Amino acid sequence: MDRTILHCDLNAFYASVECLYRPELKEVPMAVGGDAENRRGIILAKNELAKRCGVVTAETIWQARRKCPALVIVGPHFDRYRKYSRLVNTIYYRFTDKVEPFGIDESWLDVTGSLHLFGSGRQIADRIREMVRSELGLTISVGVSFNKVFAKLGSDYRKPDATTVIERDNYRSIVYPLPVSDLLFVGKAATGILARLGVRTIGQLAECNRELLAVRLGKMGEKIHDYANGIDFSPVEAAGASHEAKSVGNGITFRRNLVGLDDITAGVGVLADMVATRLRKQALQCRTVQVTIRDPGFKTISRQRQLERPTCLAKEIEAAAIAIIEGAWHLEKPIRMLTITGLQLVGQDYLEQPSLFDAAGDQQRDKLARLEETVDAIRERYGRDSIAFGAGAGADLGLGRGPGGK
Amino acid sequence: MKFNIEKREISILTTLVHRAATNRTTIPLLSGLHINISSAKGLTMTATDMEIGIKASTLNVDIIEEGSVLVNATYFADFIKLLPDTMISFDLNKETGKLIIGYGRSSNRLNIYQEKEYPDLPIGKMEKLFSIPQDILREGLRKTSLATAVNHFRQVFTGVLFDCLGEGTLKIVASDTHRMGYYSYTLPKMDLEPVKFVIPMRTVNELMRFLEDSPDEINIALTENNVIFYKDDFILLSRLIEGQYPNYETVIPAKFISDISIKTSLLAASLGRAKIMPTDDKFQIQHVQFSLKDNEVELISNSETMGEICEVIDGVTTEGEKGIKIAFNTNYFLDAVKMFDTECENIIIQLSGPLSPALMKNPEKENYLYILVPMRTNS
Repeated sequence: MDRTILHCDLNAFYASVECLYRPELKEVPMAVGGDAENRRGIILAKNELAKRCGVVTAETIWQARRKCPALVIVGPHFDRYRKYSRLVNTIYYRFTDKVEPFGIDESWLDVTGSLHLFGSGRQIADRIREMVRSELGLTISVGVSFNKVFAKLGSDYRKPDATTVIERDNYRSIVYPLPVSDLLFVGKAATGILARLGVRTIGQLAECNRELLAVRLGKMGEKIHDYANGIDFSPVEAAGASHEAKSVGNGITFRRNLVGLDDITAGVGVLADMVATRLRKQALQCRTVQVTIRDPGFKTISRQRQLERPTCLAKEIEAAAIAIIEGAWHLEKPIRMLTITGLQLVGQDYLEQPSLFDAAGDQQRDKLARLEETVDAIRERYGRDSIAFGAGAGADLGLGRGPGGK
Repeated sequence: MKFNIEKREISILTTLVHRAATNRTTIPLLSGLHINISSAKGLTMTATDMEIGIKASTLNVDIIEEGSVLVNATYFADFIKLLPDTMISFDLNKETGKLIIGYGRSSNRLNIYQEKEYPDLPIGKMEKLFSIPQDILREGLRKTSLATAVNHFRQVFTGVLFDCLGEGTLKIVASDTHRMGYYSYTLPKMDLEPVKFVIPMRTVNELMRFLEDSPDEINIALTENNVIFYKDDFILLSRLIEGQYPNYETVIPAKFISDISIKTSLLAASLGRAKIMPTDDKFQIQHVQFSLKDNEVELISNSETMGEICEVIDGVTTEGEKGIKIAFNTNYFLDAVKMFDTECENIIIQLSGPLSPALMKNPEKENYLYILVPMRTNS
């Protein structure tokens, strides 16, 4: 029997929440954006009026202002969004325990087991919409289908505040004309490759030769071919199913660009410390470090390096990150944003294969480990900003932590 | 250029030489195999990709006219290999730019490269270091090179170290930092200039194809950036791996808490069974638990998905501490034991502690050691 899966998408979530706190904002074009002074200046969400002016998510505030000079920018309040996200999810839980959040503003619901209690998929979707609207003052659009991928297409199909049902006997007419880029996991790169094959719509993708897709796009090619044909058996991960972290990463857009090794070291130091602290908290270590660099022109590169041994030490992550940057970046070229991510995580059970040539290094490492654990303990007691590793530069980088920050 | 040669003769040469050429280049010359015919040297073939260069020659050729030609190395070698076992004729037609390879009533009119000049291998300023019996070099490389790293950001760990000491000892060493193969040989020639160099694994592989199990010697020479292995009819030139090789002598354990003598074939068979046990994700590296008891050894390997093997090998002679438990990377352990299985009935394993390197050797020979670091839990 087919499953009945709902995908619920909060419409213009950040902007809508801000409007709840300041209702007058509903009457003007408004967007939630980063702090322009600190240059964390991109549009995170916008209301309907701003959308009509052509403001799009992820463009810079500066670009948006050119399209819409009257645009009101509101700084983000992530605590508010988390709160409302939780509230919305509690409504979902009234209908099923199989709720899988996808980001802060989307969730999949598997209501197959609840149909005999609450009626059809469409009826459940409409009731959820009604509850979210009346209880929270927010709107959601809901896609109802027999798998997760089509349910997500459905919630995108008509919004705001709408239900779209995609069934086995109508999916071709609804889904096939849509551009391939609407499909889950079809990003910019894949869209480009598909365009060169003459594949622009999901219908064309569904009819495309599977082997050809596999050659051009690898495993992903086969996967999206399945998706386009309505084949997706991935389960809605029930609430409470533990998600083991696959990676731990932190990024900062700096108040001013990083130029030169001193700046980079300051930025990397703070990020490595964040990543290492989070790794230790979860009793994990990473075997690979990845650095993502974005320049002022928003060109982004990402490079990674496998470590000699897994680590949760800031100093080792920092050293690896610096080495990656030195190998991949001209140090005098300005950097707008840096992200450091620990990948290939391993837990306590992991057996380490030590090095023959590193007996002296081992002792040093134990010392370092004790030092960083001590820092954890101090932060535990006196707060996150109570202690930080020293760095000469970086006072004006907006790192916001420790004595060097604000 | 015109000559006749037995398929077997030419096939030996092409097999040795053609791998030095590369198809991954924008310089056409480097994908070529150079064939030269001269009455003095017979048939000589050369190929190089600038990392490695090989030149081999034979006098067992019937020369009708001297000359030289450049052809695609990969295709030529593949084609020669498939020819019937007869006399093959080669005739370069300069007007049509084809090399006509005749075999019986059949022929291949092979396209040739237009390049006029093929550079000679840069062996001008080489200085001979020493000569070594081929079978010794072969053994030394075989026993050490299995410990090299496939990939390591410190390049030296992807190669094999030749460490020539002044008093005439040659040490051949390779390590991926977790294990190390160590081979030493006393050269007949004394008072050498001490020298150290690291050769890439690819060079080792090519050399192994050439080296024979015979005491005939091969010469080793250095130029500024290259090492050269050569004899009358063969030259292999290779780039060296740059970088400082760490001090390997200090990591050879000297004090042991237990000495074990164990039947090699039994241990190899047991580890073979441990090897096919799947590796649990949380461990990522497959390992086997090695426990020393009175006159027996217990080997445990397990996986959440498949189960647990517990094997007991008895008839083990032990000296020193008993009751030690130690975890080894199954593959690293098996690599060594398999190798000893070809030469000694019993293998000596010396432990220096549950977290310290173990040493393995043939009870009859001291010139080869395999050192393996045990695995260590994080907690």
